[in-house]
Amino acid sequence: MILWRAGFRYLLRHPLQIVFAVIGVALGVSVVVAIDLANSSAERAFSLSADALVGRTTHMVVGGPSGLPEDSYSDLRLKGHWRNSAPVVEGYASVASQPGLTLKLVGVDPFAESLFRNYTPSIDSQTDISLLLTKPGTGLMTKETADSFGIKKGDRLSLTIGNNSYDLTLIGLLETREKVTTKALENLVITDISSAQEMLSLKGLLSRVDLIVPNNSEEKKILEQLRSLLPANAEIIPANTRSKTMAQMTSAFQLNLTALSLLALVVGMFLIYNTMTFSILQRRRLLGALRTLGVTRKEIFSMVLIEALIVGTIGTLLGLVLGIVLANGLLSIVTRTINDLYFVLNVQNLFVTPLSITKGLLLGIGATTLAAFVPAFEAAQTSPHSVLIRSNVEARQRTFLPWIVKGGLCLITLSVLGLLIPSKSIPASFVFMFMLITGYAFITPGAFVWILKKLQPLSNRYLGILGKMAVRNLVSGLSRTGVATSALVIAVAATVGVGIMINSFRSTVDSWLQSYLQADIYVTTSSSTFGPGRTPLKDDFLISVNNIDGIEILTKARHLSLQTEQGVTELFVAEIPRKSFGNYWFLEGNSEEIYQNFLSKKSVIVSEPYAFHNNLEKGDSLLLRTDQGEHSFLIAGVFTDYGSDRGRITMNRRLYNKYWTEDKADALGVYLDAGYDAESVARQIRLAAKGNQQIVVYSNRGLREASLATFDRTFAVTSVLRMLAVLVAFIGILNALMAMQIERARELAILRASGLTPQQLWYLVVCETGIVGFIAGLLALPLGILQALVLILVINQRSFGWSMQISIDPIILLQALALSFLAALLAGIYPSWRMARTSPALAMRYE
Amino acid sequence: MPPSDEILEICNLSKTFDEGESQRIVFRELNASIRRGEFVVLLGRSGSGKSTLLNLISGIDLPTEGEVLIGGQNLTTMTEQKRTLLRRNNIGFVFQFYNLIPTLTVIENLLLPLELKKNIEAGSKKHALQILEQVSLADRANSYPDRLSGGEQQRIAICRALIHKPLLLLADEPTGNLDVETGAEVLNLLNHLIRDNHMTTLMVTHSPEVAQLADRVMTIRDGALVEHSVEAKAFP
Repeated sequence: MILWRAGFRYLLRHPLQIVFAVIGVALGVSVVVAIDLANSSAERAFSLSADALVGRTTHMVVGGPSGLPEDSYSDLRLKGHWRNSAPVVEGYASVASQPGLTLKLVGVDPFAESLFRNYTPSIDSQTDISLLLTKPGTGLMTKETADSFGIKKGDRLSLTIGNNSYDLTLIGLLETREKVTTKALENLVITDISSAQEMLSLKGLLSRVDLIVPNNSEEKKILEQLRSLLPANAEIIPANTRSKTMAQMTSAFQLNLTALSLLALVVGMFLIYNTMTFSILQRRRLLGALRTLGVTRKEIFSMVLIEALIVGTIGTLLGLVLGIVLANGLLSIVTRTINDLYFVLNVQNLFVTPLSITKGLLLGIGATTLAAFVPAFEAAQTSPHSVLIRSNVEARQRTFLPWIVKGGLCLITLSVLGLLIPSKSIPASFVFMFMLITGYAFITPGAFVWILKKLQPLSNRYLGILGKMAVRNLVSGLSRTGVATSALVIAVAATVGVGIMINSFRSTVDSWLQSYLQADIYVTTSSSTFGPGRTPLKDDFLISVNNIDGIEILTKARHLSLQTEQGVTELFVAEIPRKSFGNYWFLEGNSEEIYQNFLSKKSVIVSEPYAFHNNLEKGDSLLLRTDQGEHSFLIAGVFTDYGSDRGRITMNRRLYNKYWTEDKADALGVYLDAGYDAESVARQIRLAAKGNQQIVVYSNRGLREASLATFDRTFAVTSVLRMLAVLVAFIGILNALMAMQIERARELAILRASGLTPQQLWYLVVCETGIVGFIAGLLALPLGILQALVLILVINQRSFGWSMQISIDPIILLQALALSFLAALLAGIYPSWRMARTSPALAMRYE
Repeated sequence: MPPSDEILEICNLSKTFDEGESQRIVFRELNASIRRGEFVVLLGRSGSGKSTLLNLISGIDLPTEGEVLIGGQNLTTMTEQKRTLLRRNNIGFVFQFYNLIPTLTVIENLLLPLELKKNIEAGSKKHALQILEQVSLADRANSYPDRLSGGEQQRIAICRALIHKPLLLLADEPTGNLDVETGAEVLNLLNHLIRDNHMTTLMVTHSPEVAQLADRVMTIRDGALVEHSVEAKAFP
């Protein structure tokens, strides 16, 4: 069709602009797709693994923090006559030959298993399954897992579990019927239950008992009967509860990642908007001519929109490919964060599903359509007048400017009001934040003109006649400069906002760590996480440490998982000296009073995220399942804690020992007498553990550094996203300013024809782009700070329940200014170079 | 279009522009008609409202008061969409600055109005080439407008305006951007094509010499339309 050719050839004649727009969309889409793929691969790996291990289980019997007594199983089978039950013991092991890799160890009763899971070797296979029962330290794994360790049937694998090493002999391979199950069983080893109990130091205990209870009218009655046979601290939960809870734990983290990735896409959208708007401005005469020939508004609208869709589709397809590549890199960072903060997860492969690809396609194309809508609409409004009257474009811009600014202010006001509404909705916070960004984009042209007018006297004085011209050109060409500036501001502000958020968080955590960590030395058992599930310290080791000279106070702590009515919760059992307690950051109340209640009453303190997620506050009661049955505990205080975004309950050891039977410690806090050297005491502690216990000893400073290292790893993904946003911003700036100058080729040619030398032309163009870059950088700072405030005070608060101190590092602001200014200067180079080389006569011809 | 002798009628046409707090009256209560096949020239000084009148006649703009009828259809009561379609199907436009589509070749510029009118068929390209032959530009069929001189571009623009056999041809200072010699050539060509095709034409110009070619001459002066005889040598 000839009409389409009229528009499409325009794109082909401006390849650089289009390439930049494509790159901008591609980067934006790639970031979103990469995060989506990394998140969904982690989720899928977890749910596959959970589903494969759950099998046909409908319910699970779980116990207290230390586990379920194995008598529970025999009671269910013998007293309750419930044959559809199977005991499970599970834990984690490290592989000596592959540091960093965590193997899941699952102990089962081979005779009870067949009802529940279908991946054990069949009876007529070559595996002697009886070896699992008769020979301790034997196990089964999939062929793929064995191949990855380079072992075969009959070989041994060295495992480290807690403080001990074990050799596991592979006696057979797990046969799975579906490929999906094989994938789910990667890095899993199945042993007999006794072997698992011994290796995991769970003698006499089970992790759970799986049940199959038919889903019919009798279900409730059966469950009640079974419950009556169980100890007080045990309960029966639906099989999918645990996986649901674990999915919930990571949901806020994943949602935040997704939202941040969408920020990159929003910047990409502004690039499309920018490119299409410029192309409309450049083609005003062409569009006007088409309108006089009788092309309708609808036809113009469709033409422009389809052009944008072509650019957007190419960018999206490129973005999908880039996204898959990026996802491979991000996957390890995301799963590392999940391992650091939440639970053990092994993800070896990316799951690229048609759904992810479709989502990426729809998002990229959808975002392009949205971004191109306004320029397409504006193009459709082109009056045929425009071929006859030259100056109405700028006049129209200036007429509408006050309205655009007012509209922007309204949007900003609405978004601020929306953010102030008390709510826990995270999606709503992001919607209001995007409204804020859009409103700010609307007021930017007005602010730009205002600043330029203030700059005019300075430019007159210091930049010479050409500088004066530069400023006036920018004001008079508002239809071009306004759009470019808004696009730059959005792009640069995104980097400022995320940068301030990360910096504020880090400095708050650092400050908190300095206050919270008061012991001179910390000792813990080896673990891949700082959370619950750690192997206890041996009693003889504890006695040895107690006898070391120079220790003023020795506190023993225990990290446990507790099933509460709010779900799985971390319980931190501690002996907290008064001087340490005084450094806790309580949200309200007097710390001395709280301490007295904590010690003497039946009360606990809870962390801020825990209180936030569960709508609790000081003075409320908490129902916990103990070894003595359910008991209510008073919340004596709520304190700031950045150790876990799900939050935790802290209880003093004396109270814990009253209601729970287990009396172990997995961490120590060592407070030294005056005059004793931390390093030498630490050496003695290590000596006490040698050959007996695998421990990690941190100095106060060492633990702080290790904690901050975990923090930095957690924000590694966010930092990657920020870098990508910087890249998109850089490309956006180049694209916008180059387009602006190229569009003025004829005007610049006239100046050249009038006598401007190439050097003077360089100066003029660079002045213009430099001023735009500088002002855009300046205008980006307030928006970036506002975005940071929203991220810190609203989004992080609603996602994780943390309150944070705001820390605005001037370096971040200067970096943003430098980015904007530098990119703008670079953007002036190509047009200046091009114009300097082109004959003015050629440039002055109409296209 | 019903067979009627009057292709264009303007009745009590007035146009006022808002300029800040004041209003500028361009013209008031104009009345005129053009019959089928007539070549009418509209003279007037710069700023007299000639182009504004052309905009109203082509449906690009709406009058403050009055009516414009093209082939019996009242433009002033139509929606913007309908006015655009009427312009597409019934009006050919020649501009002072040619306004060829820069991203289309010469032959594509000619075929565009046929495509818009959904009149394009197998023989259309051949027909377009024949027209280009008439104006001695057949060898430039695949060139882009920026490769042509002003005179060549205007010749193409004239062909484009006539190819779809419009009811009315409007020309806005067609020689205004050309030197005297080229302008004369273009004018001559335009006159021939108009006469050969019995084209109803309204041409706007500030040049009295152009008026000699017309059947009728009108002027806009002080917001009013005045008709003159072609034989009168001295036009205002």
